[in-house]
Amino acid sequence: MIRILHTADWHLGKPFGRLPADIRAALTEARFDAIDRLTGLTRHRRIDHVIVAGDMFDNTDPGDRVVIQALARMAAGTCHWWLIPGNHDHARSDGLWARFRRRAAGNVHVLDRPEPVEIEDGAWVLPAPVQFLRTTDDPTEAMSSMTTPPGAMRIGIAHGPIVDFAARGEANNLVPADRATRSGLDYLALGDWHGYQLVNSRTAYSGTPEPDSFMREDAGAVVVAEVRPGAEPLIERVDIGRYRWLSRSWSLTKIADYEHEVRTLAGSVEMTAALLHLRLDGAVSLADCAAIRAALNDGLAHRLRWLSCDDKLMITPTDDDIASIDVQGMLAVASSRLRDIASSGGAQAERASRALERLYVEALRAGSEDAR
Amino acid sequence: MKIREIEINNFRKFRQPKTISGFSDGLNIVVEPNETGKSTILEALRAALFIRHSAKTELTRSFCPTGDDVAPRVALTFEIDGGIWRLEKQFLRSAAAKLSGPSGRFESDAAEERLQEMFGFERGNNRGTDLETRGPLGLLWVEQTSALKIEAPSARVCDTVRSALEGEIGAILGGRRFEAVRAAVETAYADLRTVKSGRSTGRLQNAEARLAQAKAARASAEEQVQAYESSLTELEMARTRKRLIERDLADPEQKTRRQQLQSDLRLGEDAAIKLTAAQARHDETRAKLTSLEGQLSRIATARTVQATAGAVLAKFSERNEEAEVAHEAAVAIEAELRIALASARAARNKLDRSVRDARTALGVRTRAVAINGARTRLAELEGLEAELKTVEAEAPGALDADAIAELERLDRAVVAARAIASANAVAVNVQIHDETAIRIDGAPAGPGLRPLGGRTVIEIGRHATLTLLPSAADGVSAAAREGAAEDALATTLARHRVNSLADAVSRNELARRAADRVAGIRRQITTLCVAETTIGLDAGPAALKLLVSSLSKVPPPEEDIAASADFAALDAALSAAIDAEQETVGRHEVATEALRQSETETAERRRKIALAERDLETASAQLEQMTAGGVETLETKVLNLREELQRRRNTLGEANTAATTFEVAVIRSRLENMLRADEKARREREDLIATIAGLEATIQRLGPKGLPGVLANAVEEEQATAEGLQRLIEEADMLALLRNTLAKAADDASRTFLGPVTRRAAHYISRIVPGSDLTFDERLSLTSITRGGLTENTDNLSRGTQEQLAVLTRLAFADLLLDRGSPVSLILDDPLVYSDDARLDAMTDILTEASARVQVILLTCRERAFRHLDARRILL
Repeated sequence: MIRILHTADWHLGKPFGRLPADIRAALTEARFDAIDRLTGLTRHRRIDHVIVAGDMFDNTDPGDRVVIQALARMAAGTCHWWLIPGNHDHARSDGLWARFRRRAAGNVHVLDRPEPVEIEDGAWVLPAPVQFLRTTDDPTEAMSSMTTPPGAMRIGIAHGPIVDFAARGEANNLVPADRATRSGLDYLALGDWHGYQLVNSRTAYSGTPEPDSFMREDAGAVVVAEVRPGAEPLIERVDIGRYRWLSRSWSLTKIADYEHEVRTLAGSVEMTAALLHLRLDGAVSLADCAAIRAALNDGLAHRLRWLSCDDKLMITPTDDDIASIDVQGMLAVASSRLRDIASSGGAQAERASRALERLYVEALRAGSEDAR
Repeated sequence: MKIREIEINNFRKFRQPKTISGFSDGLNIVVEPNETGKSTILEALRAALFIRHSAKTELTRSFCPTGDDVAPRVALTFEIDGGIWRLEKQFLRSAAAKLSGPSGRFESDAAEERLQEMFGFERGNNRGTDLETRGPLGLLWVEQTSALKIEAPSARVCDTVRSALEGEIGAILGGRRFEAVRAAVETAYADLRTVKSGRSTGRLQNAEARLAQAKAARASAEEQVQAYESSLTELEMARTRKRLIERDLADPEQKTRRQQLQSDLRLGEDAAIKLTAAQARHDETRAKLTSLEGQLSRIATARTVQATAGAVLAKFSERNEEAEVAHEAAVAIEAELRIALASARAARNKLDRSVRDARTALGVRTRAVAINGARTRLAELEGLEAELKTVEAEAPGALDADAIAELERLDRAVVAARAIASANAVAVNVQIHDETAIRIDGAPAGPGLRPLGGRTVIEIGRHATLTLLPSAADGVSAAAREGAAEDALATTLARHRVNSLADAVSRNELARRAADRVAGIRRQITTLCVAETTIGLDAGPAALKLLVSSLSKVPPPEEDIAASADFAALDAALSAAIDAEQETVGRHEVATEALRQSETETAERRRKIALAERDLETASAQLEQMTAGGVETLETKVLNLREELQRRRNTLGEANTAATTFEVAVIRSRLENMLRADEKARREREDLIATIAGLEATIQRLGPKGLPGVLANAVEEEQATAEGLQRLIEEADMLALLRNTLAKAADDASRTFLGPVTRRAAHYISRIVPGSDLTFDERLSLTSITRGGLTENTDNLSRGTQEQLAVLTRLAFADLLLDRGSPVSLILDDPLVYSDDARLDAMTDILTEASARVQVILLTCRERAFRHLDARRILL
């Protein structure tokens, strides 16, 4: 029996260029910290081997800072790290991996050749490193021909999808789902899929330990696998991520809808560790729209780690809204003109709708000043 | 419409229920201390009349007294068209609206709708875009509460009546909120675009700059990544190339091929050497054979020559002696004739000389004779010339024919005149009787008859002188005429120096004879002086004279030396000698020809013989030499050589085939190519090693920079920046739209109301400024106030004037509504604070008058100021 920690898709050095600098820095640090958390986990669970199934780095040539930070944190542990290049950091001569090796401590092993390696007595890893960014060949095909001593535990490491999601028959590095059976593997550690996924009793995606996009909502996780010769492995998912990347789409008709959604969200996640991509739609009154937007910008945005809002709210000004701007007089004239443009559906409609909202906000502000 | 009662509860300052009642139709003055809530009363009126009871807005929430959670409530009792109505509105909590009056009770929305109808603005019509169509009544009603709250004049700067009015109209139509909103929008817009040109500024400009930076950063990163990636690709290619070259260099197949070629080359070279040898042996044999065959052929030729020469010699040997004799004879004949010819020539030459001598002598003689003749002729000539001179000297000058003819005419005229004179003539017969001398015309006259002519004076002694006058029938006497003719004749004769006509004729005859004589002498001279070639004498006397004068020194020949010579004999002898010579020449020529022919034949014959003899000799010598070894041996040798040549030709053919099989040049070229290719590959490998090292260095340098990450980051940043910019542009566009809409609304309002309100206000203005006359421009703007005959610019209006204008504007509005059949309550909040007493009086008069038309409610904390007014006073 051997207990391994299976992880993948760290994507160290991912830029997050669209995010503000402070969020960017936090996310970058969180990815490095994930290595520390992994090391802690191995210590806590007495695990000697960590398998990293590809895409440790976000690109083929991360800067030295990224490489050195990663290596320094890996060197701090007592475990052995077994890495294969993935599609983002595929092996190529003189690239990243040559640099990486030069600086790596003795407990870090780059498996960039499809040759079996004995990591412990009777335990072999069969790596399927990604040699090219794109190849329609099955990188795990070679595992069948990799011979290991009789009775040895065979642990495959590969990086690639098991399903052609594009369904065009042109997925790259496609791995057959029954590879473990076909090549007599006791466990197949897969990378590429960023969420934890148990493919079959001997095959799993660990997912990324620290999520990095709104594409998937899973919490960051790793797999702790107990591989036993001649028996199915014990596969355990362990959540380890810090930040959650969430996507939500709220259809609102009034401020109360919004408040309800926020309550629901707050009840389900730790807001300060969440990055939220929010899509708003629905038709609301001017007053509600202004209130919702104010609440978003002055409330929710501050509660969350980061909020990205795709605001498609449609304003349907009510009579009260218009009256609030002014009941008569020039402001009323202006607001009713804008409402006409907004409801005409012409090219200026969206702009007029926003202008009306602004007018509303400004009129209220002026009104409240008046009242004082 | 007239307000009767207002009840307020839970409304702003009024936490407790408050009822204000007792409003009269005319002027009402609501007196209240400061801070008791005048403004709140206005707000409550506004809430009751316009704000929908169900509204939950910031405004309605502001109705609630601070800190309380209660339901603000306003109730209003008013009279309209004689009917009393009660309106109740409760906001926020248990919001409700109730309206009851003569035409029934209405609740909630129905109440709101009814209310709108009553005040002249129906639902759906009240928010149209056009100010004019939506009911000014409602407008003022709705707005009056806040609009009629006159602000402290110092709050705005009004330079002119027009701007003051505009400001007040603006206040009525939107007031401070509009200005505040507009200012906020302008500020927000100015932070994005310049107001004047719409250029980017502030945040928008910054965002554009950031995008430009992001773009540049992305481009730079792209370039670096490109360079890095191409280095990697080049390195990969260089390594692959190097591997291929090394594989090629180590290729065992290539080695085998080279060895095969080298062995082929050796074989080829051997074959070539063999071929050369075979060729040489073949050529050698062929040369030998050719030589021997030549020898045989030469023997045959020599034999032929020998035979031919023998025949020639035989032919000539028979006739040779005879021919030689004939030739010698010809030589002798010619020699003989040559001698004869020489003697003939000598004879003729001798005769020639004799003749020449004789002729010379004859010539000398002839010349001497001629010279003598010349001398004789010269003597004759001299005689003739002397004679000629004489004749010419004696010959008279001849008259010409015209002169003779004139003389003859004149002579005939004399004769005719004489005849006439004769016919008329008187004759005197003189007879002398005594000794008295008779003289006629001076000349003594003898006796006899004497004709008289003309005037004749006859003197008879001293006795008488008779003057006889001719008859003068025609004026001139015949005698006179006769005399004239004679004179003419005499004159002419004198001119020609002759005495008479006869004399002239004879002189002419003499002259002609002399001329004939001269001509005759001249002919003689010409005949005498002919040319004489023998002595070089030309024709003419001059030549003769010249010749003779030159000869005069030579003495004349003494004797005739050649007179005896026999020229004829000599000539005959000479002729005979020539003939003899000619004959000899002819014969000699024949002999010479015969000799030449004979010599030609002899020479030819001798040459042929000599040739034949030499040929014979040579051929014999050759034959002797060539046939020394025996002809048969030669022939055998030739046969053997022919056989050998055939053998060697075969060998050569075989060698040739062998050489063709291994083409040395081709094999060698192939080998060279292989070696060259290897060399090139080796060099290329070295180059590649250098290239690879260079690229590796580049990659090691660039790799640690993390360029792909930098690029990915730059790309994402650029996108984010671009989106941020787009949002700002959208915001700017939105603000531009809002700005324009607000500006247009303000313009429209001003345009719609400024004119009518100004016209109405003018009436009042003239009253507060007595004696003033208002001037309006084309847009009905009040531009100046003429006061006491002086036009005062309306700049810098005093605060009091501004305030009064504000009140008057509102009054003008109220009048406007009254005119349209919708009288309203004019509510004024603490007006005329700044008016002096005179103006205050004027204003209160105006208000009092107005209260006869509309209900006026005046809220004030200065009771004293309005104490003099006859009005309903209500105390709060």
